[in-house]
Amino acid sequence: MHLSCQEIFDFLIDYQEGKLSWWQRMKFRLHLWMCPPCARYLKAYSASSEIFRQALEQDPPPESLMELTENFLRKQRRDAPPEPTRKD
Amino acid sequence: MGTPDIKRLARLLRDGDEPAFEEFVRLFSTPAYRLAQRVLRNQDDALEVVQEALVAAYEGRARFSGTSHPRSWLLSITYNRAVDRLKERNRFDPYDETASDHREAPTRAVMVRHITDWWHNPEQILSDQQLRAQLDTALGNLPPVSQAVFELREMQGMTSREVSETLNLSEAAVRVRLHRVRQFLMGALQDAFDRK
Repeated sequence: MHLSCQEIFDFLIDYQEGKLSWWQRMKFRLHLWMCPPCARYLKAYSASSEIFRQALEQDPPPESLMELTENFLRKQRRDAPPEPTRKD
Repeated sequence: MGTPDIKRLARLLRDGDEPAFEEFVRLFSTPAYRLAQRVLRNQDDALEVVQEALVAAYEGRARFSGTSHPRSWLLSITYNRAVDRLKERNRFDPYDETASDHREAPTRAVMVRHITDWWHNPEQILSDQQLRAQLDTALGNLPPVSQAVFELREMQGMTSREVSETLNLSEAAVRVRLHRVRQFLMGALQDAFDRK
């Protein structure tokens, strides 16, 4: 049984991430071999992942995040109950 | 800082070890900020949410089971706080299943017919501020859960399992969401090139 173009489209990420069974993978590859538009779409899909990762990278966190973190930790240390003293 | 021993850190956190909590905060406050910033799109809000999440983690550390990744635990608290903040402001309903990634996910037929060669030349996209801004706007139009999946899987490199723990989704749902986000962004990029 051949896969349809819609199935290729639906299973792209499972194919990429190795989640398909051996038999499904073979059917997937056979479809790509016979269907240039789907093969082309897969290439674009694969390339786009890295493009989106780079294009949508956020600015580095502000320095105020570090200040916030250190202030928070200082407060926890100050408010923490004292260590119990050891009785020898 | 060397590679942290996560299993050891999780065990110490579970046992209430204070230095382990400090290490945990230093390791994971930046990923928490990036997640909050992605979902809220506002630096001040993101910082406030991280602070709330750190306090909540400290107060709730006795409930940390030690079985999940400590990063998933903090990011889960952060995500829930960020979503609460969005709900308070009525920006949109984060659980709306009719939101744009469902409604506007392109069908395969449309995409294959329209796909052009932009993917051959990533430098052109990366150097074009307008295109990048359009992609960012497109991502911002998706529901928070989809933006969070994108941030955690694509940007922070978490596994599907970790993302599923963080966002309380199945691993399959994480993959489907990510697939839809990629398709949606491909559609947005294709539209941008069609208009040029």
